[in-house]
Amino acid sequence: MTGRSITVADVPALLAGAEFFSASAAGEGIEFAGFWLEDILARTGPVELVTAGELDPGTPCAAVGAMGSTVAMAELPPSGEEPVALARSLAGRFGAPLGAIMPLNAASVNALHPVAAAAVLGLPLIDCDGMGRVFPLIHQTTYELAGLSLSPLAVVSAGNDSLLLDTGSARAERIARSIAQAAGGWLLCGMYPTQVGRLHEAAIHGSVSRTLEVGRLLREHTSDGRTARESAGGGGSAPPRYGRPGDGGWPASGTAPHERLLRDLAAATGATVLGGGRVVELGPSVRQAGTVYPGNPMSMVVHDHDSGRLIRLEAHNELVLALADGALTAAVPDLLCLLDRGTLRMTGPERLTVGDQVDVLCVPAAPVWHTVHGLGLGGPGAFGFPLRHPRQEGR
Amino acid sequence: MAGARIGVRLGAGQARAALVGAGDIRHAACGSGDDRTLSRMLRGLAEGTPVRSVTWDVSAELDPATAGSPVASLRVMPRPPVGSGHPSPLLLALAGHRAAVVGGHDLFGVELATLDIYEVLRTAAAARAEGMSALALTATGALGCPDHELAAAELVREAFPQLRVSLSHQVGGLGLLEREAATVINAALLSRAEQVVERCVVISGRLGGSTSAWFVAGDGGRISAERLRLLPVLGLSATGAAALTGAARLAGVDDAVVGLAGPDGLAVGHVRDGLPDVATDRPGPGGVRMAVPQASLTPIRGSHTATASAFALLAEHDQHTAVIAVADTGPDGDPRDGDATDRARAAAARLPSASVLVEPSAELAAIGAAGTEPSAWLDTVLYAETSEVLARKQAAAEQRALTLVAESGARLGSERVVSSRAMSLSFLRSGSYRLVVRAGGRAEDDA
Amino acid sequence: MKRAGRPAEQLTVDELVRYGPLGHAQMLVGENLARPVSRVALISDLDQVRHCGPGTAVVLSGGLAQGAWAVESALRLAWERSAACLVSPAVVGLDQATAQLARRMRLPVFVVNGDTAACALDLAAAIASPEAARARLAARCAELFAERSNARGIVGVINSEVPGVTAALVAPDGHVLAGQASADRAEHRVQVDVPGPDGRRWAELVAATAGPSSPTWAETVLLILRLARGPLAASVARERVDAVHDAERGRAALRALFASAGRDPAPTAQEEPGTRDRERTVPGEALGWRVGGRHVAVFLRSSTPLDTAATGPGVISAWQEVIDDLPLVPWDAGWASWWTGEEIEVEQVASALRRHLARMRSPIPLSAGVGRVAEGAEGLRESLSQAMLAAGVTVRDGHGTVRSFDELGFRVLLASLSQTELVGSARMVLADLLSAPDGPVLVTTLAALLDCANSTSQAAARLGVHRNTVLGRVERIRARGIDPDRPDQRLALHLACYALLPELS
Repeated sequence: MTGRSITVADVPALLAGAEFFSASAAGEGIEFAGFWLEDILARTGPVELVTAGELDPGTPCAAVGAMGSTVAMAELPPSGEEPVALARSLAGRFGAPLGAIMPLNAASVNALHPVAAAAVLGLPLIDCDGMGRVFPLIHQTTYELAGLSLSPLAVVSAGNDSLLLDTGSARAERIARSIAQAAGGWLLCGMYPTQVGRLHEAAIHGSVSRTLEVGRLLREHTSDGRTARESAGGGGSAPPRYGRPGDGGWPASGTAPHERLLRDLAAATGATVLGGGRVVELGPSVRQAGTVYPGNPMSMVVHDHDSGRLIRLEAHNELVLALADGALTAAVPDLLCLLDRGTLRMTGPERLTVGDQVDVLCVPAAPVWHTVHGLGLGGPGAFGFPLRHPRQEGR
Repeated sequence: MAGARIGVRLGAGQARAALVGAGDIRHAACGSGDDRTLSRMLRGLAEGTPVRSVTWDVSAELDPATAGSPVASLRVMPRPPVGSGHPSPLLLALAGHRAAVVGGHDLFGVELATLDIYEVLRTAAAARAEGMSALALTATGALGCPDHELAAAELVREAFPQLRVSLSHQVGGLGLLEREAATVINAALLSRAEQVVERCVVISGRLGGSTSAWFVAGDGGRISAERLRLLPVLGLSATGAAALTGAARLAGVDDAVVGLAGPDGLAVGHVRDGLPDVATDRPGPGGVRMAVPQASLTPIRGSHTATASAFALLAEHDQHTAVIAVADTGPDGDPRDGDATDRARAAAARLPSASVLVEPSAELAAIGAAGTEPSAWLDTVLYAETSEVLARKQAAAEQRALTLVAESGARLGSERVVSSRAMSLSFLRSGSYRLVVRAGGRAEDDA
Repeated sequence: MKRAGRPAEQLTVDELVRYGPLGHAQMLVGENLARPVSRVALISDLDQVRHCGPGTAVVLSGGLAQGAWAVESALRLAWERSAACLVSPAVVGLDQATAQLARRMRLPVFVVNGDTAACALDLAAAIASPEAARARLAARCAELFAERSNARGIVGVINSEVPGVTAALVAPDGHVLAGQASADRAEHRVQVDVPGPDGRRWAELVAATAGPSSPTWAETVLLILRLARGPLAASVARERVDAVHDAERGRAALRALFASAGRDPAPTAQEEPGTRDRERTVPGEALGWRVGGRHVAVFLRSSTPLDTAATGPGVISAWQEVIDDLPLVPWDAGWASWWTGEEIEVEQVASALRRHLARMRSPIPLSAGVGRVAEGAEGLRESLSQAMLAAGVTVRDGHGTVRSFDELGFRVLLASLSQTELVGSARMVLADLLSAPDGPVLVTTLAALLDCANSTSQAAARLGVHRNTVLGRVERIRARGIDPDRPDQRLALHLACYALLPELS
């Protein structure tokens, strides 16, 4: 991995991979972040991607990630200066400048923020993360599991309101959420300030590379459209009269394209396909009173084309559970994602309607998430579902 | 009221027209350069039949890359961006002058910063000095509260009456970068749209005093001349939308999965309740995403056999009727292109018997244009603690959409909600919804 | 009322729905309701379902109403534990997908608005004392019996109200008078005698249970049957009187109709002169008949020598069960009816009648003839005469046969010759043949052979036997001095056979 860097050319793959690991619900409408990051990288030059082992163990580092709504962020994009405020806050607290950035999670829009932060601050980005997916709460991390402290938590809003919260993990989270709501719907956070040496135990390694790899895979499968877009965008040739360029075209051949993509994704991520077919039901689920999670619970049912089973998916910001014919078959912390067969893109309950065709994938979480502590922090129980994770069955 | 409707597609120096509603569909074609030729063609097409409306697909005339003129772009947000704001070469070319001023609201309409009116005026002055004729104004949160856009527009109009202003909340939906792109493209097309609309209205008027002129929008609905003058961006990518509508009409179905056959491939779209399915996240001109609803068309390229089997697979998984239509005209104004016809037939041969093969006797997009009907689209965010409040607010938004439809010349009482979706927003406080409403209606001049 | 030595009583899910606490719940899925319920479990944690035994009614507490996923999880676990049913509180998002899953698992699901704990308590009480619940069922049935006026209605109450039970009213000869015929053939059943108007045993009320029933459940069913007996006896008496009265009115009206149109087609031998004047006063229109227009008459008769007065009510009620909009009037030695309509055709009537005869649960075998299309009352009379002639031929072919006058042609004449003197002569002419051990069979075979222009294969087909059998019989016929091939004897032989056939069949 030595000598790797992330350039403007890597952004589309990073974006596609970020969508994949977003557990469906949180990946909506993050394309804007691609333009935004391309703009920044074009200005700053590439970001150096390093492994934790390549840096001096004493290097001060912190995790960077956003909390809040991606829709709000799309409407109120970051100015690009936010990381500077974060770095200033954290350095002031520690008396030493940050030497490296690590992602809070290399998924959804948070796969892009640490890259932008590293670019703006001129720091290396460590190829790891603390979730391996998207979790709704910023303290649902392997950093937390390893005993790193979330706080002091530095937050900054799109209006450049800046704040340093020095309190316990759960309280910091709660307070930051209400600030996010008032400050435009999202905040950029700098957290888990630590030294690179401690990441050996505390981080999921290789996360950024994995996101890039999956993203490249996804783009290869939709390459027809992208190629057309790029040529149409650059060449100035007359646009085709029917169908616009860049629609994620459909390479035509014998087997269904979604099957080939599923096969490749399974090979790259160790994912299993729980089933696929028509969405037969979609609607709000029961609100869980007093939950710490923002957002609205939703429920959807996919009728598995091959087995006839009904796969019910419960979502609360992201996909939390999959029940096949009433039996729990997959659950957080494992990553559930939905592939839209029509567009060959990752999708989520908010973008689907009854009748759409999807495939349901489950990507196993990093082993640390399957420990007792891991499941306590990121398992079904943490999402208010009184169920044992399938891996706990028979224990 | 008896009479026929005409649809015309302008593009590549050609005008192709179809007359619908007087028995068989008639077609005609001529060069599009000369007004007299066009008028003569339309009169010949009518053959004395009273024509109630002419609906124009002018999307080819509004290509931003060739028809756009540089404009100033002003973004309103609490903290100006460090970079250019958008890396697209097309936008960089169109937005000749870019600036950002402090101001804006959040999604729910709460003011994030006071609008810096002095900076607004300075930007307008600079734009005017650089010879720009239009200004695109995009404020964050304008869909929740358009006050800053309206206030800035008021200031600019007063100080620089010659500078035309496009406001983002009138142009598109959620997503600042996309909406800004749409607003810039819109502003850039204002003067070209002015000429095109004027010309179409005059030519339509020569068919008789009772003939009205309309324009196809990218979402498959139709809009008035006034609206297209103000919002030319709505007229982009209208050809595919019109073709989808036309294919479903000729097939006699309201809901369908439609394959439009051209010489190079198939473009697949869906029609629901007579209107094409739309999306706002598809790349538009120059690959730029605009937060404007456009008919979703997915291209399938390859040999006839390959596109046929791919479409058969799609149709098999779709609950609605599969329609395959020849959607390309021959070089000499023939209603159908030979290669496209072969492709369509190859695809139809692979479909179940309930499917429909449409071989139109006139240009498909022109037929679709003739039959377009008013539609409206809303994209907004709302907050509702309970499902009752949500239902009430959703109903209010639906009413707003229906009113828009009525304003676009729908026959009273024919307005209907085509789709209305409240989607919960992730990672905002519980009860935050994004609401997308689509509505349609029957045209006043419809038979 | 627990009795020593008896197995524990268990109510079924269906019983709990019909007269138990589940009657007030919304039934989301009603599959497999015959399962007995052994106990009730109020579940507040999904894991508790794992400890439920088979036959448990699983009730989810309000705290578990966390969404369709929770109900589906419970459903799955309940299914794995062979639960009897699942009761859920009303939950947002509980809809078709959940119902579809439950249907596939064949597990009944009920949705209760309000407190499921209260429902669980009621269920527990009902399951603890099934007798009390069943007494309520018997009381309910008794109430409903009193409201029904005929036997069909009364038996219907049992079939609709008593879960898992099918009932039928069966005549001593095995003919099902009302209810579901399958009840009489079931393995597990209870029965009571039903007295006729004369106080003697007239029919049997049979109730079949889905499986071997528990002693007290059998007792409950028996109690319900006994409760039905009184109302049944009363209704039978009423129906008999009604049927006889209706038949007489119909006969009189038809006669009046023909009289007004011309000659009465039926021999009036059975007529009692004293009743005539009174009968004439009943116009057909008063009975709702359609007299004008195009008619096709049909005539039903039986091969068995019969007393139309005795079998009439059974035949007429069986007819009315199948066709309630056409009259069936006792006429001569059978029953007359007719189809009316502008487009009516003979073939159409014949095939309709064939269908109806096949479905009719007649106490005696019936066959029928169909007349020609004719106009008005006069035409109807002629059509009926033709139908009667055709019916004479069909008698030989057994129950359900329908032939039209046109189809039979001149053969109808042969069939009408069954007169006393002819029979006497025929006996003498065919004495040799009749004296054979299988005499009647040989006569029938001879008739068939002559009908079929001496084609043995056609005759075999008609008789439903192998051609070799027919050849064998023809040899025996020839051996008795009869040569079916002699042209000068053919007609006489044919006549003699036809004269004897009604007696032989």
